[in-house]
Amino acid sequence: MGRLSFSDTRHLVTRTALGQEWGDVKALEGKTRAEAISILLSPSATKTPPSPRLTPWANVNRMRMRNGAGKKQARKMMMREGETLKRWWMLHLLKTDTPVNEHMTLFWHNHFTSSLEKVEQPNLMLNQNKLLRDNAMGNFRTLLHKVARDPAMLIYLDGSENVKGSPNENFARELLELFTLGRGHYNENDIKAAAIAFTGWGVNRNNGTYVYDARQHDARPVTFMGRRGSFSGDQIIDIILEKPRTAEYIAEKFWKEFVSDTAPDYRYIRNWGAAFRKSNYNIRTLYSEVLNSEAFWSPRYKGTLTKSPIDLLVGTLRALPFPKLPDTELVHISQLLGQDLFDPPTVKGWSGGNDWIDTQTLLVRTSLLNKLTRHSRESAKVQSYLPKTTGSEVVQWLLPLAPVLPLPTTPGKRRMVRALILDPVFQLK
Amino acid sequence: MNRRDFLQYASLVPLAGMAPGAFAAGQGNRPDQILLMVELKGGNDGLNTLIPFRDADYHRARPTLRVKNGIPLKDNMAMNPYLKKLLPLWKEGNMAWIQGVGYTNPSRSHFHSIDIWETASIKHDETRGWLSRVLPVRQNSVNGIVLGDNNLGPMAGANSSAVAMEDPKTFLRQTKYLNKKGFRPANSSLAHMLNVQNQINTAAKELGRIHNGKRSPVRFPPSHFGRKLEQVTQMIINGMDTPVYKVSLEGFDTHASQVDQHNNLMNHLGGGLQAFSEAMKRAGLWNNVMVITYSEFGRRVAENNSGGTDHGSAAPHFAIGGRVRGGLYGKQPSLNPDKLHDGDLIHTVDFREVYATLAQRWWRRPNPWEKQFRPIPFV
Repeated sequence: MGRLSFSDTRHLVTRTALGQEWGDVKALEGKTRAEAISILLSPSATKTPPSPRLTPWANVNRMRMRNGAGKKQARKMMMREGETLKRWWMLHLLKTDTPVNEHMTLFWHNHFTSSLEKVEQPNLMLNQNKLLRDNAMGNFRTLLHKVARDPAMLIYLDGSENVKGSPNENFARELLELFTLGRGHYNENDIKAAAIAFTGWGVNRNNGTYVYDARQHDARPVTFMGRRGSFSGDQIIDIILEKPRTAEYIAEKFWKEFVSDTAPDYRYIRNWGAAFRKSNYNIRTLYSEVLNSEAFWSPRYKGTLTKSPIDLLVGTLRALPFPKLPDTELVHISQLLGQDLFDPPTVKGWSGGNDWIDTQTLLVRTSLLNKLTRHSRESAKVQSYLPKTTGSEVVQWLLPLAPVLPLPTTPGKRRMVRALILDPVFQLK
Repeated sequence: MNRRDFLQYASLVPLAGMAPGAFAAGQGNRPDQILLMVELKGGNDGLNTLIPFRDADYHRARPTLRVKNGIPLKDNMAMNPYLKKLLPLWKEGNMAWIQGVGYTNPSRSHFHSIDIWETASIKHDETRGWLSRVLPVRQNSVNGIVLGDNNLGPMAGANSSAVAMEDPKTFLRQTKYLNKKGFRPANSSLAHMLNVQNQINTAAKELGRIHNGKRSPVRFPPSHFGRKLEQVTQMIINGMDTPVYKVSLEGFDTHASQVDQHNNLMNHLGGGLQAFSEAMKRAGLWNNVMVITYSEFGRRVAENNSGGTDHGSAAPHFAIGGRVRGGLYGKQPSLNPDKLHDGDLIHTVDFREVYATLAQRWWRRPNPWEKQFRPIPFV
């Protein structure tokens, strides 16, 4: 195995970080695959930036409980603060020093979905976001146990309504269908059994924290995945994690995120799943397997993934020195592009792939890139910040494949960058 | 991607400009069955739209909001008097009311419930609109146009071939920067992008042509809603190759001081649709169009203390068109307090029965909900 070319490192960086910052791509050039991947995935101190100012949950709750007007006022405030929260994450995505970890935070947000629309309380969504960030490259077992008792999740999937005598199966169903095993690897009775095991898990309405109410727990024995017993929710999770299918299901999600939108090649999934399980669900181990695989580097899959709105918006602004847009506009554009942070459209998250591009979003993508690269007094400065390199390296830096539209014949670095950004291939990674 | 795959993509998606035009510019290729969907945004108060005016429970539940001068239609049901401009259509047998439309375990959230209506999925796990499952995928034409909204709604989905726009002028301005050149797609993601690009450019080209096309002699109400209907009319009479249009009327979330607001909305709705039907008749196209209303939910049976109504469940909807078989369909849900669910009407018709009707009886397409929902013979 030889050393990585500039084009190889661009491939590695665009798919794992947020955009292809020149310095990051250059830094890995000439290294071996294994070296580059280990540098990229090396643990670095990742910190959630200072929290946005949100009204403490206890105060919101007091306002809500007062009367009808208070309830209305509280709802308005939560909506306003929800927007604050979205701007806060957007800015963090734009400025973070650890884009690989942040990319994974977004990945888990799309896996363990919750939405402001249903949860309503920005505080709880912020806490969930911190949980995902702190564990983004940690251990999946730990993450799953924590997500199961995360207050935002308990509200989003109605776990807090799941009580003895009146089980709510929503969380149990999605735990099996979307978080761990996937359809076809459990039956309806397993869902019912898991729902019973999770009864009594809820949210303290006064302070918004997880609470276990033993009186609401239904301790009767159930049969779950062929095992009989009076299970706790944590035991249900541990049984699920014993199944090889769970590791493979997560491996499939990695395939879709990092390799290709086409059906996964099972030979890889089996190997990745086995390594993931053997490491006791170390996320970094799985990630490293994926990036070191032949599939990740195969020319067959290069330049086939459609950039997500965050890739396009945040990635472009991180990589290129265009004038920054105000944070409210960034959030608004991300919504128009179809990726409203903290508000995924369904419980399955954003479907991604070709679904990112429809008649509406393609127009927004085009007008955004047009606006960013348009000639103006401000953008005249862009020229001096662009890397000093050859034209062909600029093409390799910005595009995963050869451009499909003709390049400008008049010389000029800024004109060239604009043409590359407006080329349809720029929408891919 | 090998060369064979590449050629497949290349042949699947003709390059723009080389596309074998489904229609020649200037002539148009109008479908024979056109649907105009009218979304009543905010949740229309069904009980004050099609009124059970002889029901004592109605009068008890609505001491200040009850409509006393409804226009009796049939079976003790009356139409809101501000819809009077639609009365001739009822008399001609071209107006069908479908009563009690809703679904099980209704959501009272605007967003969630309109998602359910537009995706026809109760489980909240689908993002494609229901029409993308009914209509065929077409490469170089536009299946649907949404006016006045940037949301594709019932036509959402990467393969739905629909475009949404504030209005045609704004759309033409936005499309100015879109790449017009064809290119060779090196993989399926690029092929998809090219296809979407071609759809937008096709729509823009058509709208550019229609902009200078003939106009209907009918005068539309000078409201936002009236203008949208006029734009739809312009597209239809100039032969746009598009089977679905969607417009919306906003303001139905009447939590307080409902009477004037709702009367006003009914007036807009009736006046606008009357003009639309007149324009279609004059163009000889009345048999080729159907208009249908939908809304995220109806409102609660009992009025609240602010002279309004809160989010409820089932509601009636109507269809008009030259081939619509007029009458009352479905069953009006009982208003008896013992027969309500938590103060809400219990639906008698699932909204997917309406969709099944449009699929099977209007377009002669397969009914995607065949196993659960049968069509209603209103067309």
